[in-house]
Amino acid sequence: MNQIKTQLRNSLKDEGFRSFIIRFLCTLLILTIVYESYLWLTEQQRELDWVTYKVSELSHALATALGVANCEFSCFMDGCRIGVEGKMINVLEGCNGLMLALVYASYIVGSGGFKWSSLVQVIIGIIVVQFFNVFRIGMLVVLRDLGGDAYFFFIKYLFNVIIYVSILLLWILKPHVDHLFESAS
Amino acid sequence: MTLRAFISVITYITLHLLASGPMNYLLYINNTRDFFDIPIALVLGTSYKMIIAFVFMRFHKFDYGYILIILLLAFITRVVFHGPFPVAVLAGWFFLTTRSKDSLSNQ
Repeated sequence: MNQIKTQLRNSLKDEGFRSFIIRFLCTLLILTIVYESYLWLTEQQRELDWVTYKVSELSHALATALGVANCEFSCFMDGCRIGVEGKMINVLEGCNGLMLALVYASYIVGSGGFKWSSLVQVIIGIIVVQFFNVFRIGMLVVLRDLGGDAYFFFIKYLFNVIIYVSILLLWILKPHVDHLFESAS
Repeated sequence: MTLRAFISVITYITLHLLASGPMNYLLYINNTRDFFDIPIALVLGTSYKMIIAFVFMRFHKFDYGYILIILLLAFITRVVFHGPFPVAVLAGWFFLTTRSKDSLSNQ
């Protein structure tokens, strides 16, 4: 127990790590406030948020392009429904991948501070996360249409592993992007 | 990133998701979206996820101090901000493994 206490004290004395944690949490807090305010505003206007709508619309387009016949698409205040009648998928605000993108962004700012290269990486990261999210939902519509247990496996495991690993790959690329910006300036 | 580290990440994410799947299914059969409606599952699932994250970081020989802080960070990310728990764990892990090693007391 004493060993754990000593190690905890030493970790808190580690300035680099402490700065990372503080910057990570502050960035996440600020981005969450901005996002929640945006959600509150759209709710006041009795509308669905733009990100969820666009993710759903693009997923519907992908599913249609992949050959799902009679694929329907309808949106309400709390989310969208995509798919064939009787096999619809609900895309709610929590499915739009934005919270994942915010945590990704918090790491970028947490580890390197706020710089122009961080802003570029955050924007690229959000696009990549949304690309995988549209792919995930579009494929789910296709799998749901085909039927079987594959649907459950893909939604719970494979797509999540892919999306988390893609975030890790973006973090791996971070020093290279920083280096590119430093060379350019 | 080494192959060993990459495999450990994939294993960690998979083991984490093995708990998320049944927990989401429990939400579905209980006709709710709030985990506080199924408190026993919430406690068991959260403990399991914490243990898996702990083992993952111990595997990488992190000090208990760092592990506890990263677990707290991930817990705050999940409970306060509704963000993904494993991504917050991976953020802490990745920061510690990629920064200058001489500033780390445990490596």
